[in-house]
Amino acid sequence: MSCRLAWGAAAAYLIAASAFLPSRIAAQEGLARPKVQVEFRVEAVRYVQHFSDHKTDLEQQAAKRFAKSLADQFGFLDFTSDVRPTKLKVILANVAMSQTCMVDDSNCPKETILRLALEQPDLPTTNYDDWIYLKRDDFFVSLGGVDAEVENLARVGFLKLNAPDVIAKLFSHIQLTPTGHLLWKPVGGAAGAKEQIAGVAVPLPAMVLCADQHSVLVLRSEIPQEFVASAKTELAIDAQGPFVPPENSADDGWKKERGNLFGVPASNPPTDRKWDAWDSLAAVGDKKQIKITGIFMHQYRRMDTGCSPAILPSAALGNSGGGL
Amino acid sequence: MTNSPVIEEPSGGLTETVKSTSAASPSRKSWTSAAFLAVLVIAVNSWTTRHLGWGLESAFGITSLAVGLGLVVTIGEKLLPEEEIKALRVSVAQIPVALVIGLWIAFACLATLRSSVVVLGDSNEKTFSPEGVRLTKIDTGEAILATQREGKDASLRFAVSTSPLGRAYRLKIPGYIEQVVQVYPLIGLTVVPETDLRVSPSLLFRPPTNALQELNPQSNGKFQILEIQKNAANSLVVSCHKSSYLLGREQGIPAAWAGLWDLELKVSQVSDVPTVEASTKLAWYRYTVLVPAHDLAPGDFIEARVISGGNAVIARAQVKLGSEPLKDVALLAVPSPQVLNRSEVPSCPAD
Repeated sequence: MSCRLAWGAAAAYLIAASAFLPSRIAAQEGLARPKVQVEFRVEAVRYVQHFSDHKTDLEQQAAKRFAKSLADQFGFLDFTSDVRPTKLKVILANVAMSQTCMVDDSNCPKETILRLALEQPDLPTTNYDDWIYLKRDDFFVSLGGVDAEVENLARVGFLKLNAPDVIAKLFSHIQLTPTGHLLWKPVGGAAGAKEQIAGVAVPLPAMVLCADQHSVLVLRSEIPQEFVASAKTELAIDAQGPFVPPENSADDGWKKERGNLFGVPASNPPTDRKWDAWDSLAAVGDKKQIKITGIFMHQYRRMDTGCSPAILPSAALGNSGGGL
Repeated sequence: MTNSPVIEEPSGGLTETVKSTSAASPSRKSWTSAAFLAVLVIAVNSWTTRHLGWGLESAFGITSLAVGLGLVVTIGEKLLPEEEIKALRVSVAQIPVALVIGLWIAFACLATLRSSVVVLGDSNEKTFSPEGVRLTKIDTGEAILATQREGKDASLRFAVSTSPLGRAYRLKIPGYIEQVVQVYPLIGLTVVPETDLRVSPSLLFRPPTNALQELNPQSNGKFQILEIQKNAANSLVVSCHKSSYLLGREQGIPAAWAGLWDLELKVSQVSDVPTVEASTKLAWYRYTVLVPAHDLAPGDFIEARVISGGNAVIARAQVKLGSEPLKDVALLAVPSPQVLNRSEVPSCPAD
């Protein structure tokens, strides 16, 4: 009798839990890394000629393989070969060397590159042409079967990939999250004193973004102005790792950010681009008027401890104070 | 009465003279017949030697025969009784001149209407296979069978009909272009293929560098030669080696071509990569010989193509054969590869 009761209770729990499942999944979606569809295309003339009939096989296999390799290299993005709005086209192409050596001339040696084209809804396509797969001298390399060439493309290609450059020039255009939480603290610690920035909490667990110290993020924000439109700023953030709120934190919002990626204003930001000064943010009287429009990755360092491939319900909801 | 001396006709005087005159005439006749007969024997011997391949082949031979016969007669005169010798002389003298003339006429008819074609082989080098030599009548296309194969060089003899003004035949020898020959009576025709005939045209097909790479074993490319006839293409031969291809009779590559190949490689900028340039040149020099099922002839329309491992035509050349013995044909890379149906893709032959 007691056994039957136990089974009945378990079934009722499962039914109840399943009723909540969609909302849980929705919650996880918001906390997940941006998903990027990887599409592989073959345009390099010798590959088109060699694979002709098997080109689709090559493209499909290479897309899967590159999605995996890209995920290994760039843990802050979720690469997949499934259809997604954000699409990364990896195009095996040739670069014309001169008027007498055009891209469709298969008998003239030229560079073979892996061109990256990032397509996002409502945004112009961003291209990256600096990933050289084969130098000019290797143009006439012998080509084998589909499996062998997919292996070559991934193995040789990723050895030649300048990952920091790709992040700075291409993946920095992918929004990690549309919001962020600016954490302010009073100067000197006294309540009511002028506030200064303590850091920024990215509403994504550091484990999920897999970003360690020395990663640099871009905080894009709009600061209201008195007589003109809001000033747009791009500020550099040094990632610090998972956020651990202080025990005596007065702000409940800080506790909700536990485990999320925390960053502080970059003291020595990368010099490959221009940055706005943090002072402009600090100067705003009503901090609530500061509107964060997106956070992006600019320089990435993968966590040495490894990354979580997906956010666990317990990590997403339990640690951040939420629950069923 | 005086007795005048009587002059007596010497006995047998006039009568003897008349007799001797009437006896010399048949003797002269018999020698004339014998002379005509002897010349006929010599002529027939020469004709049979020339056209049938048998007879006393030299003047020495026939002289020896005559001397031998003379010796037999001399010995016979000494050994045989007088009566039998006289009887023998009478029988020779009795061969009528008309018969000799008749034999001459018969021989003249035969010699005017029958002749021969002799195809000389090469004792040092087998330039053709005797089995493949074909002689056909132009009007009916009827093949003439070789009557004789002789000598270590396997020369062939064809006995043919002709006319006083000669008759035309088609002669085809493997490795050489088919040719129309005139066969005249008496002299016939002797053909030395190396000097009298034109060799069948050969083609050196050179795939471009990218196509040569496709012919690497791991790339699984194929080289195919097709013969185009009335818009239909028939596959002649397929090979899968990384090399150029010589279709037809093997022969040396003219030294001047190397300079042109260098220019080609420079224009295509392949020479900017020295290792690839060297590899391409070697592959062109070390050609693979492909023997077609039948000899190529001027006017034949030939297509060569390289098919990639992915079943697309990536390089191609089409050529109409001329009379030059060896033609250099560079295949050109196809900008938009044409994908073939699986059924159109040949397999590599087993080596």
